[in-house]
Amino acid sequence: MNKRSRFIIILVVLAVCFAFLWPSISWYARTPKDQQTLALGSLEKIKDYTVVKAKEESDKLIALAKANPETALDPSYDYLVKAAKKNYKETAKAYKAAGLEAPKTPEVMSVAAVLDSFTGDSALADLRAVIEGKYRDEILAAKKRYNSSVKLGLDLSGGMNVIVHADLDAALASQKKDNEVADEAQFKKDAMAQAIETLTGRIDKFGLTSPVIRQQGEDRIYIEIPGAADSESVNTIIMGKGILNFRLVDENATAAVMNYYRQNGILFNSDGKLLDPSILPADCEVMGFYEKDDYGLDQLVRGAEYIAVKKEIALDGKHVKSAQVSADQTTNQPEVNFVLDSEGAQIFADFTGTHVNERLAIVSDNKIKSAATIRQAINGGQVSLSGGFSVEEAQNIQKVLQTAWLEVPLEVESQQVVGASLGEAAIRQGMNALTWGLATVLVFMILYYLGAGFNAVVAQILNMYIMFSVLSAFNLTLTLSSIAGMILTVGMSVDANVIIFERIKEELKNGKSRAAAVAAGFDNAFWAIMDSNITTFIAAAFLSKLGTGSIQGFAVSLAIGVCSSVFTALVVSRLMFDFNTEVMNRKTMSIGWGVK
Amino acid sequence: MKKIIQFSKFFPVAVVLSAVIIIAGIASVAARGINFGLDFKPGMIEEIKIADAVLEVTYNGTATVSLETSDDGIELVVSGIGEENRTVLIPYSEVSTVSEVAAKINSVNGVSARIKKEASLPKEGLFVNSGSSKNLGEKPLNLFVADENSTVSADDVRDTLKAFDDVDVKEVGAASARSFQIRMGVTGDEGKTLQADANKALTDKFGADKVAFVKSDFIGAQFSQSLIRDSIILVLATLVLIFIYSAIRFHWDFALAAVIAIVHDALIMVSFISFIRMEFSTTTLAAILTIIGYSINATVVILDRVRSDIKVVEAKTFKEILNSALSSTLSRSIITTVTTLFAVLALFFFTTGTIHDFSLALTVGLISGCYSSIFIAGAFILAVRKNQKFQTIAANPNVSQFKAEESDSE
Repeated sequence: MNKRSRFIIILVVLAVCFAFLWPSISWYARTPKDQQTLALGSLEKIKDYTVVKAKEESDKLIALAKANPETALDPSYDYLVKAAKKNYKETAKAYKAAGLEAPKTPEVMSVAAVLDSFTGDSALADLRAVIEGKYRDEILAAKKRYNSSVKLGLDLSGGMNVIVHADLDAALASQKKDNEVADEAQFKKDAMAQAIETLTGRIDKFGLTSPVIRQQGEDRIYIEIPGAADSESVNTIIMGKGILNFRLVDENATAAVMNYYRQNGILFNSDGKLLDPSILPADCEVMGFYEKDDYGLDQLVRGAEYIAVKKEIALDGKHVKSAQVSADQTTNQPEVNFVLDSEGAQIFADFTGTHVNERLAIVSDNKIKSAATIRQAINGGQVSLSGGFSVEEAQNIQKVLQTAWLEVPLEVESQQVVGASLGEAAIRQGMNALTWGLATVLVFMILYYLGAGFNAVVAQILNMYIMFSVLSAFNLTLTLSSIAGMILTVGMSVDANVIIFERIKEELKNGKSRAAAVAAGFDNAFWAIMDSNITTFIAAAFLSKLGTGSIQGFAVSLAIGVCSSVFTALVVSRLMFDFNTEVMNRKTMSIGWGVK
Repeated sequence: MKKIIQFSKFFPVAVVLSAVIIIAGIASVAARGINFGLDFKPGMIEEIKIADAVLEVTYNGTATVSLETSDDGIELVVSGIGEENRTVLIPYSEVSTVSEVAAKINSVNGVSARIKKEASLPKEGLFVNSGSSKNLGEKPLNLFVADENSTVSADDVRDTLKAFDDVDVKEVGAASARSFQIRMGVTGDEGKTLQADANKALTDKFGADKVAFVKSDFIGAQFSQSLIRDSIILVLATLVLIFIYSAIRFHWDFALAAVIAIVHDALIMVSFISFIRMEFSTTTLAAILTIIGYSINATVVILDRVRSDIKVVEAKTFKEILNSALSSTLSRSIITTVTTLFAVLALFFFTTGTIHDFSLALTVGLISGCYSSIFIAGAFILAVRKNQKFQTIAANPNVSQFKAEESDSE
């Protein structure tokens, strides 16, 4: 390969690395803290925020237009001016199509002109939609940046992690008491999926910043909550039993609640308490009505976000014995059939008999999963729920009902809580060690290898840059131990340079010219470098397979470092030598004291 | 011509020296056991600080308000519905007493800070319990200052916890910091409530406003068992893979020499860990595995040189070739070890806790790795190939080396 194509390859690698690194840079250095908090909130919270914000902004603009219609808008409203211009263009088009002369587009976009561009019945809604869209896009863009940036591990950011063990054998045993289990492996898989889903649902509701919940191995669940969290409440959430029950919907209270919600855009304060408790009768409480979105995540049902239900429980979930999804024989509509035990059947028969044509909600962990109308008194404990839902929704309801009898015992196996200020101290330590480690290594290389040492320095710095960007590209977590891995990589990757330089020195001593010595040095060193790095890589790759965080972080950065150091030593450093030989016409070599 | 050092002369001494250290190490492990860390020995480690709760902060409103403390000041981040998004900084350079901090916190809409005890701010400022949420709400968040007048000692803490089995308390940092590390072993099921019980005993004794929990770790019995099993499998599998790779690239005796050098380094490190009673945690395990990677690196570079020298160096015996290869790679061996040591020593001097131990173990491992790649691996190959003759190869350098080796060694 000639120099130019090698140079281009290096530039491409650096550019790709920069692209990977950019989200991390913009998230940590260019996103203000309050934006970060918003972006880390749940989608539900973001939606509430943008709706309220749009309402505030539009009210402000309308008031301003009334008081002072000719005011020019602040540059921060440019997005609105743009939308207004588009509106005017479309209006003009519509007029033209109808053969009429279009009204003139105002030349100066004052407040009034901007607001006037929104016409028709939906003018206010349209205006709000534009403002909402702008805020939403901003926050979602920040969220995206966060998702593709390097995360700080708990030891650096503070926070807590919990490893929960799910006792699948106990779940299987209790299942076998009541029901047949055809496929035990499948049952365990399902039980595990359900345990994770239940935990995710509960933790989401807690409103924590970007919690991580994932399965680890066959029967463990790893939960990580960055920042700081109330460890006691988190434990209660994890260890708490699932609560499933049936409750009557209070239609009047629901209407009042929804009315309040539509007007104010918000129901609860930061503690989850109603802002205005007077809208609700004392025997009711408000809960969100949830459905699954396309990603299988809980989201509030649009248009019927909240439902007020009686505090009194109509039927406890423990009475549900089994549930199946099937299709109605005549309409082929999906339906959920569930069977109650004899005690439950009696309670249910009495209850449904007195509440015909009222709605009954299925409540799971304080979320409403379904609210269906009671058509008639249901006797005998065979209940069928149908109408208005898809097969997927039916399956979701079946899963919710399943939690009644399929309880997977969970046990906290390991828990780690790190204070945020402790994390900060760790960052400082790590950065200090990194800076000093790198600095001493680089100074040593220059002192020992003189001119060639400079090549090694450039290679080292690129090495660190590549390592950070790969960490960013794979969304890996940066921990103190991965910083340790980087520092070690610095030391070890200097090795590749040392092997090459020592070889070149030998060749020079044997009387070879600069160009020949460089070529021979690189050729002879090639396999030594490859073999030694491949074996180190094998060790690092294996280490990264061991489950726990600190070793993993260390091994991953070591593995990345091994790869990038081979690249910088064999390609970057080689190109620098060749450039000096062929372009700068250097005849001699500066590669150590007493070597010419 | 380059000077050739007769390394082979030192092989017997080196083998004896290593054997003595390793046997002493094994004896030490057998006699005293290994000081296993939390990862391998289930239980709880907690760091507490005797301090004064001086402020109690609550929030009532619709937004999300979080409070974080750092060495430089307090940061309140306000975001969400009903408030303008903003970040309020209270740097310690601007406030000198608790009431001044309270006044600043109170200036944020909806947030109220109640002064529990007036005090002047120490240099380190205020801190919070690690186990409390940074998001403010009805439940009050306590802000603490270090209690300089406290006389609580490690013995007092130990006394408080004497009802529990297997408790170990030690001071962290200076005595005046009143920071203590508590370590409790756990067997069976009591683990679930161990932490809560211990914390209750502590707050009952010293007062709820007097104890701040800085950090806590808990590992259950089952988890640490599976970790031990995984670790052993991991180390063995790594060794096997390295052996296979080097057997393919070199020859079985070279590969075995490399593996012997690695095992030697691992044993030396375990001996060292046992000698100084260092805690053996997953981080220590990582150090050993790192040295495995590092040592194989060093050994492979030397073996590679031996292999290429077999082709080019005119020599009568394998010993001469080995000495020549070791001599020409010596400066590389030393420089690489020295540079890596620079990096590791930076870790040693700038960090505390597990990473500090980690770097100490690495330092020993690095030196051992450099030494074993020259003397231990060298001694082994020389022992295997003592009788290999080289006339044919010197006469006919085009004969490929694998053929020559096979015909000679079998």
